Order: sequence, then C-alpha cells, then structure tokens
Amino acid sequence: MLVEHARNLAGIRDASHAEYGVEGTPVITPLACSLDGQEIIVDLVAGSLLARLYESVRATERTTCSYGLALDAQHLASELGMVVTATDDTGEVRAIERPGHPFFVGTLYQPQLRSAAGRPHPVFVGLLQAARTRA
Amino acid sequence: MRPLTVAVLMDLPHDHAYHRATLAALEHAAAAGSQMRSVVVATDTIRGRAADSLGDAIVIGPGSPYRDADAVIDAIASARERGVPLVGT
Repeated sequence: MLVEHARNLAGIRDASHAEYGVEGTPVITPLACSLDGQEIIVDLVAGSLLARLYESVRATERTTCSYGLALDAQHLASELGMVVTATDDTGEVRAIERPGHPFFVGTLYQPQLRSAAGRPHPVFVGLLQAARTRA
Repeated sequence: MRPLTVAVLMDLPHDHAYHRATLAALEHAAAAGSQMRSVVVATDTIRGRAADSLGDAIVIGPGSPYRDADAVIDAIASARERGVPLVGT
C-alpha cells in the first residue's frame, strides 16, 4: 500500500520493495532488527479509525515483518491523504489509513494472528462492516 | 441481505499457517454479524481487474514476495480510487 502510494501519488515512479531486488527507489526496506515471530506493542492515534475499532490507543499485536518503511521515506505515510495511525515503541510506522476512504487500512503487523473464534480482531470486523455499508 | 464476497489476494499454499489464519480471521469477524464468503485469489490472475470486480472487500494477504507484485499494486490503486474497503497486513 505504501509502494502504491509512493508510485501513484507521491510521484516516485520507481518506488520499490527491497524484497523484490535492488532496483528502483526502495521505500520498504529490511528492518535493522527483524520482528518476525515477535509480539509488539503499538500505540494508536486517538480519533483514528483504527483506535475507534480497537476502542483503545494501545494494543499488543503479533508480527511476521522483516521489512518496514524506509527511514528516509517515513514522511510519505503522512502525506497525500494518508495518515499514520499506529507506531511501535521505536517510533516507526506500524499502521496507516486514508481518512477519506470507506476503509483503507494497512498494518505492518498481522492482526489475523490474534483473531480467535468469539474474539474477532477489530480490523477484520471493521473491514466487513465497511463492506456491508457499501454493498 | 446478500453475502459479502471478500477477495484475499494471497499466493501462500493452502496449508500454510498464515493462509489459514487469514481466512479464519474473516470467519471470526463474519460470525459477529455479516454473512460472508472469502475467495483466495492468486496474484498472477488479477491483471486488469478492477477492485470491485474482485469482491466487496479486499484483503492483501501475507506471504510476499507475491508472484505478481505489480498486479497487487494495481489492485490497491483500484480499491483506493473506487472506494472498495481494503486491508493490507
């Protein structure tokens, strides 16, 4: 989602994800310390869609991520209609959304790994609610 | 009320833990009130497809690198432009 944003809205036509090779301008790069298999605490921005769905401004999430938004590209997540809605304890971007869109949420963690029967994850509940509103 | 269709763009093997977890998370959420069917769509089959032709909502599933990353980016752009609910994890 961040590569799409960089290419189509920020004008970085060759924006790339380092996982696909070294060509282009990498906006997603390997984390200095991989978070694969870890739990992280994310701070949510009060008033964001994410915080409203969680009914909280802090959550513990599981992640498989070994990549994150490049340090020199962090500003992209707060431009052109995109806002940062979660950060981790290092201050790095962990979630984004587009307030002008019915539901456009990207997480640099894996909410599905915390979902359980009878305890659905708020991100997926919110996705289905938005789809139902639109259907 | 018709069931929602959620397209999950994902190339992982069906028995992969993250594949199963993603579909299960949708089922858990649907149990809270929305009739829903999820459809796993391989990324190398979606070139030129508008987001709303894929489903009522889209999940960009885990497991990159994708077979066709540019097609995934095009699907995200289409969902952004057409207001199709989308989550990428």
